[in-house]
Amino acid sequence: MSKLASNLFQGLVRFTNKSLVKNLIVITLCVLFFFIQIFYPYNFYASAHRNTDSDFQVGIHYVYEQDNLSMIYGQVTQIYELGFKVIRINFQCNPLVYDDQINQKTDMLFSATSHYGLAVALVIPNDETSANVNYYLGRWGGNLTYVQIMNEPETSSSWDVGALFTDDEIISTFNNLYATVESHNLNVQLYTNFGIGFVLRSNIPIDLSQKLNFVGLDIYMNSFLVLSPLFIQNLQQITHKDVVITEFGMSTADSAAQTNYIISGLNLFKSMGLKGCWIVYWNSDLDNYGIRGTPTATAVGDWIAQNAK
Amino acid sequence: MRLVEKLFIQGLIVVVILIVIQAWLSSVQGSFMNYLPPIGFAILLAVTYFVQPLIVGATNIALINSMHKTRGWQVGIWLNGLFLFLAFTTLNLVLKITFSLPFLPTIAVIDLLLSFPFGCLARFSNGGWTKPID
Repeated sequence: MSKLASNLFQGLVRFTNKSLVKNLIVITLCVLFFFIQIFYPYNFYASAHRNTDSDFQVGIHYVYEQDNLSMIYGQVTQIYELGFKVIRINFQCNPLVYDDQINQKTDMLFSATSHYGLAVALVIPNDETSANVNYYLGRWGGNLTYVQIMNEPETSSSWDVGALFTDDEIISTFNNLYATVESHNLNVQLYTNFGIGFVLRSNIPIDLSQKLNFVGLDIYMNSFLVLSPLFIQNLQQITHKDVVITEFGMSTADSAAQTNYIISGLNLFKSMGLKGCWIVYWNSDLDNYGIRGTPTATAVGDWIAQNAK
Repeated sequence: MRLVEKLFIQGLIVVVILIVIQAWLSSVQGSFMNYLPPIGFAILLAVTYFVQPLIVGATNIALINSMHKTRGWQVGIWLNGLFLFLAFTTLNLVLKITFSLPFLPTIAVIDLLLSFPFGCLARFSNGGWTKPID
């Protein structure tokens, strides 16, 4: 029996020692290692609920400018009752008319968020002027907890569709907006969010993060959700800053698919020990990202009740 | 030298080279990224996936030829180096993710402790010829 085993082993060694076979084995193992590196992090974090006691902050982007003035307070109440801790908003104001409708809506929003103690994250767009930012922060800056300086700068257009910002444009625009925000001496945390494209322009997050409290990462589509642990760890490694998922959502009319995607992501990000995840959007007239009034909102509320402090 | 000792020495040398390159790349990654973007990024990719496998593959076949008295190689130098690099980084990734360990010093020490099995893998992944090939 032992002779048979020995013969088999020696035959196997002789077979694998052939150059062609050895090359095929090495190439096959290379492919296997590649797939392990791609899929193992997601499978590990998604299959096990880690960091069960860690703080995890679930937020949502509320496009309040699309709602009537009379609806806003009630919507913030609903968001609060579902357990969200952060409301992310667009930069909306009219510096020229004090009582303009949009200014009234912004007043109403901050009135509600102050009442419920919700943190507010303001998104300052890439093309916003310092004058407008000064007006906004002078009037409502005290209500803010987070200020986002620029939105996915590494992928944004400068002068026309498809014309990417150059590095110089990004950094000078960022510095202008940063100086404007800093001049108000607000008690806020600053961040900039990046899309998946940051891996091709990693110098941007490395440069900008030096002045930021944390960095954001925006995750869309299942494929990038699967790859997100690699992107998150890379972003943490190059910036040495905490990463918060600042945009996470799916535009679909299929509520079951949307719920599954968002809950999978929340489980993954909490399992990875991240500080938080902000969902896009609460409401959205132009696409199907909005979760308001859908089973997804209920499912996210239930998830928060069970998982997020 | 006995075969076990040869394999251990081969694994140790390959692992040390991989650890040194990995630690160096981690420490200079930011500098590469900031060097004339995106040229620095392209150089970083070239060093990681082309130069590093060449160094590791060439070292591996040189060790095999010198310790086992053989000539030539069965698997191309770059492919052999890429294979060892991927085996090394896959092991490190699994350790890092599963046990939340830092690369230096913990994972590097574990890699060194695994020199013998890594030597077996390195020896298996390539080989020379015992007779003149030309």
